[in-house]
Amino acid sequence: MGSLGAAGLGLSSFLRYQAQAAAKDIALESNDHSVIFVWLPGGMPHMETYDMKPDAPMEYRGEFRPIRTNVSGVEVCELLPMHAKIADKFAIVRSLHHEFSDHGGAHKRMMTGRPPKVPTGTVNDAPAVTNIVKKVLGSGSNSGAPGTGMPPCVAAVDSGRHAVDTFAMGPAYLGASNTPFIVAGDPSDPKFKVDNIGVKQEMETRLEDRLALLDGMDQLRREIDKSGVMEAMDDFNGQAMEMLTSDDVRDAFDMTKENERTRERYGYHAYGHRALMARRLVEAGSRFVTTVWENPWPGKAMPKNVTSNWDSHSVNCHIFEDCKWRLPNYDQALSALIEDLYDRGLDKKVMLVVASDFGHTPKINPQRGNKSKVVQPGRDHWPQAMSVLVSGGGAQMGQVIGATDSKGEHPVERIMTPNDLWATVYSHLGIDYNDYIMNLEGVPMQILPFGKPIEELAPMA
Amino acid sequence: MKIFQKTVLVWGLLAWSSTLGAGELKIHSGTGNDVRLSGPDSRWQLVVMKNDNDDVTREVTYSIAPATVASVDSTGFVTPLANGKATVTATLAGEKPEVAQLPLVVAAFKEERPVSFPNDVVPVFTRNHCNAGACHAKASGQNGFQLSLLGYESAADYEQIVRHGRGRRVNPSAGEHSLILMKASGDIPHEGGARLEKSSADYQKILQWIEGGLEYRPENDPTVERIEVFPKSIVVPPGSEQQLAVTAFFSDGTARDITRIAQYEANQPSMAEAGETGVVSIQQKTGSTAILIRFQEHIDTFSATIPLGADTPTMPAPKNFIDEEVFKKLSLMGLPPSKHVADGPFLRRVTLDIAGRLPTLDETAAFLASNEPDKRAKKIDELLETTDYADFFAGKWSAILRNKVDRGRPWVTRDSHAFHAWIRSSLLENKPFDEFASELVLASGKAIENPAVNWYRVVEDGKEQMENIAQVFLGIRMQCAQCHHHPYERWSQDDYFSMAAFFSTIERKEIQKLPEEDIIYHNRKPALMMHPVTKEKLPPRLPGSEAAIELPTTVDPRSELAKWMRSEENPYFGRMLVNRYWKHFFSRGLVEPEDDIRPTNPATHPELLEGLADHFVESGFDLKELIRTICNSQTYQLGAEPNAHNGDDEQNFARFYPSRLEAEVLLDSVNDMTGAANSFSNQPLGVRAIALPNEKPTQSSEFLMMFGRPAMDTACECERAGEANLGQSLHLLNSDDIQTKLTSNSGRAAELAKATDRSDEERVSELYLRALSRKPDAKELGMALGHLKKKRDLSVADPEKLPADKAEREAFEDLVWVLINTKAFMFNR
Repeated sequence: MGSLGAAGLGLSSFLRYQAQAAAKDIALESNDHSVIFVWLPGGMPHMETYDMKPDAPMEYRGEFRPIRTNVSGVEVCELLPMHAKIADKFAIVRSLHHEFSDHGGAHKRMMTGRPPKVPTGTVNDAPAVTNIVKKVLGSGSNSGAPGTGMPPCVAAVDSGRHAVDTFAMGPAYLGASNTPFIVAGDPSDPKFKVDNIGVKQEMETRLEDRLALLDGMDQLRREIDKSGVMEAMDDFNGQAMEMLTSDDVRDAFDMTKENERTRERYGYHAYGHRALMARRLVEAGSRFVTTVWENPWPGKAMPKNVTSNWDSHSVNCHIFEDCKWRLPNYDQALSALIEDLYDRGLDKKVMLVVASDFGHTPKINPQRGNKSKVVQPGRDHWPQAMSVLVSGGGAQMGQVIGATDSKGEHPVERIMTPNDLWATVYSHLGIDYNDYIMNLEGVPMQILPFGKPIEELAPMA
Repeated sequence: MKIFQKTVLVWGLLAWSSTLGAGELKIHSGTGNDVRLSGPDSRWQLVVMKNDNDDVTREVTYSIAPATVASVDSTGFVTPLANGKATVTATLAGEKPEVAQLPLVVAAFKEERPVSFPNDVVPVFTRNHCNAGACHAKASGQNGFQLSLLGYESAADYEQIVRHGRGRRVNPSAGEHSLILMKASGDIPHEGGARLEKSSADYQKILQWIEGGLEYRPENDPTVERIEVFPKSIVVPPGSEQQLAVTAFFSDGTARDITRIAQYEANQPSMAEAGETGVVSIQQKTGSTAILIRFQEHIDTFSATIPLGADTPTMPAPKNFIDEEVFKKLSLMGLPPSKHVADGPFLRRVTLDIAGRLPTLDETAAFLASNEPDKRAKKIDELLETTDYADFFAGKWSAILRNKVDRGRPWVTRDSHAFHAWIRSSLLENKPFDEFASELVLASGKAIENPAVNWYRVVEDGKEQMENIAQVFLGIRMQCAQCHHHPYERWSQDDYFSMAAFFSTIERKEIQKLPEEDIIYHNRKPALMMHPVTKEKLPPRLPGSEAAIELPTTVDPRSELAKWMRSEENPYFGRMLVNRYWKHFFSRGLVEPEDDIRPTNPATHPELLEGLADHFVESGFDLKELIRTICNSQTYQLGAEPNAHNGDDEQNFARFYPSRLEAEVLLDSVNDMTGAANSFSNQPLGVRAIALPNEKPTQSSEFLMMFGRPAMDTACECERAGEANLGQSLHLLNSDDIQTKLTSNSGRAAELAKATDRSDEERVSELYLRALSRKPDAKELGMALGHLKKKRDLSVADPEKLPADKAEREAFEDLVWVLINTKAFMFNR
């Protein structure tokens, strides 16, 4: 009873909503679709990537020129040549916007699909999409696609468990049971190892010993417990053992199982290998894999004129030098992932989404850099316009959806919010985003308070 | 056919307070008088009962004389045929047939009562779930058509239907072609499906309204003042049925039967469900449950008590009024209680429940050896005097009083420590609870000088302050009423904002631009909160009272609220506290959820709740006295093992319901077993988890996070997650944290492995005494000794791979690990 929220009247209301949703014939398809969510913290500058404005005034347009792609009419930044070869395999949305210009507020706005109560800070007051997906698809157990033993929701980050809060992926009232499985560290590092996956052989023997002993000595009859927690704990012990000892699960996280050529194509950096790992995870059965692409080489020394995440203020970096340093890795990793998904026939099953806190100011704002000590160009936070990339999901690719004005300041066509993106994602996963989850006060909260799927990205028949 | 046993009749008599005689067949009308039908559309549901307890509505045969006046079908549903007076007769077949009669009047048969939109049409939407939160009553409506939630704003609904949608929704000249009817009947694709059959009374009623001129209300249209269900409560065996009759009483003195147009919602569908014709189906579970009946904004509740149906059991002698009430119900339910709990489990249980920790080896030895007849009572007193008690309950209160630092600066941490310390000292000195609550509500000034002010730092908004105080101290969940009339309660938005007005004068004075240092004070201005829809400025008004409170601006309105909370006339305050503490000790409140106490959510033992509340208030709001009363009762001291009959019992307290230890208690217990200690920043080394003051340590402890320690974001104890999850298992099986505790050179396993002067049996027994306050039984001992032998044999076979001392260590590490993972350890029973 506990996992659905308040007991008594609250529970029966939720069941009623469920029944009504079913009665409405809204297909809650149980499907095996999955999502790879690439998160670029700090704000991807839209005018250096997917929304080039070569005709804007000098103070706006930046140093880079657009280049044509293999789809006529679609152009991307010249620093993304590998993208240009496969524009028929992705779609760009240029017209998303929201109102939160603080990193924290923007993270929460993007990650949860709700305007946050407090516009700063990253601790969620409402669950993030990854938690909701876990709740709806995980249904009490932790199996990915049934029987695989894979965690259904994964978050691949640089550091550890607190990254859940750092990037506004906290579960709020959905509780610790619905947080994503954390994979910390740079998968391109030869020393890369994932906690709680694939224990050493001797430890495995010890664990088996212990569980056997526990089985014999844990004599308390389960019928003493009406809450169901005792039985659930036994079940989870079994699943935990599976995760800890299953070869399939261990292999899914083992980058050395991939051939050298592939690993090189993706790139030996955090972007490339997180992308590669994400592909392996969805193949093995995970349903929602978040990969955070911050610093392409975490822990290594950086040039003085670049910054660790995408937050290209002039006080942090020389934006154009930063792009020259960062974007080739991004181009390499993302294009490899897209090509790979298509090559393996995963483009219908998997939807790849790339997003960021916000865009960056169309007008360049030169200031003195903190590290470089010289005045350098940069852009500040700009939630009024942002670009996102979507690939796969069985949708029409090779298109640009929406447009901003001549200076890249505001959307003028197909004006949408992040919720429309999430409605598209939820639909892909077969989750009814109008459905309700009870919060702790017994108040039903719609999964998405507003928003509808982006029509241009509907799955093709 | 229902099967009745003699004992059911006896209970029926005991429970029924009516003065009517037994063995009588009676036809009931919802008004308590005769049946009065007015107009050709009126209908009436009869309820026929035998012995005032058994529903035979669908078993009797009916007749009406004269038959021209009205007809009645086999379900007791009356349809008028012509004006006149008649008598309806019900006959129950049997060896000795019984007969009952009721007068009946039909009037105004020729006058078509014009359709009233709020009285006739809106209830159709409610019953067919059109205006439920999942469909058209969503904040943004559904597909462009918006209705108010559950029909609370019928005027707005009228506008939507008649004037919006470019007038396509209704077609007065060809009613069946109205969009609203074509969608509802499925003639046009409707995501909600085909909800109304064209032949149904509901469809016809809407059609009649559309073709009748689309009036909102006809002239002299009366309003509903209240609704009543009959019967209000009943004692019935599992598997039986009960026909309800629901009556609406109008402002013009008339009454109408609305049984088949009201909406029914079951509190626990697994126990009882109600169908559209007002027939309640009792399922197979025993206990008490309720059905909420709704019509417009009015509600009423039907309660069912469902006994097991076994022979009346013998009850142990009651020790206090708790036992009297609980055993009375167990007798009624036919549920025999489990055996009295033995000393060992009792000691473990009460130490965990009061002091939040396991008993020590010494405590266990002393208690088990003692022959004092009142040793249990003495142990309870002793535990209440420990600082562990104060720590444990301070943690409980800190959580729902939101002692949260988030990413606050160091002085925020300082203030949160002071807040926690204030709660803790209040518990240690057994401050009367009303004083404590009052100090919190009235807190003003600087947090560093008056720690209770810290609460206002976290709960910043006046509306949130009111919601939290109402939920924590009064058991009223006002939240729903902020945006619309509360769906389960009498509270309107007016009530919500009038109560929030008590907090409308609180302001913060900035010092040094540090929000955490703000001074909280009452600003001398009129206390008013604006109603967001009517824009009316509402003065403070206590929940349940009609009149607002008039105050000079010099008086802090919170003082009126605090005064009312502490007064003996306040029914909510005492009930909330005793229910909360009842849940702490029994895992289930007398009302569930424990802070949602309302007439539509009845207590399983209403007299017990009242009795406990009165006792608490009379004692001077003495928390320790309450705990004493609870823990000294027989009910608290029942064993957890079910007997043949009470295994399914979930709400009658026929046995002790085991529950898993809270995260902090579990962590401390694991440390006690492994010989480890906590280390948290800003805390003394070795601090016990139950003594942690705020939410911050959870961020650095996977254990606390996975086992559900609350983030202190809400006023609800339900934030503490008691469920199982994969993270817990992974942590216990494989975390460095647990491994370190087990393998520490100064830990328990190492200590026991080194103590080669002690026998294996002695050492294994010590582990069990620590973990479970008892010695291992033969099977457990056998397995433990077997494991020791196994490891030793492995060492002998390959001493290089597994040296003897390492084998010994590992064996004990394994045994400690197993013990902390057994359910007997992790649960309180």
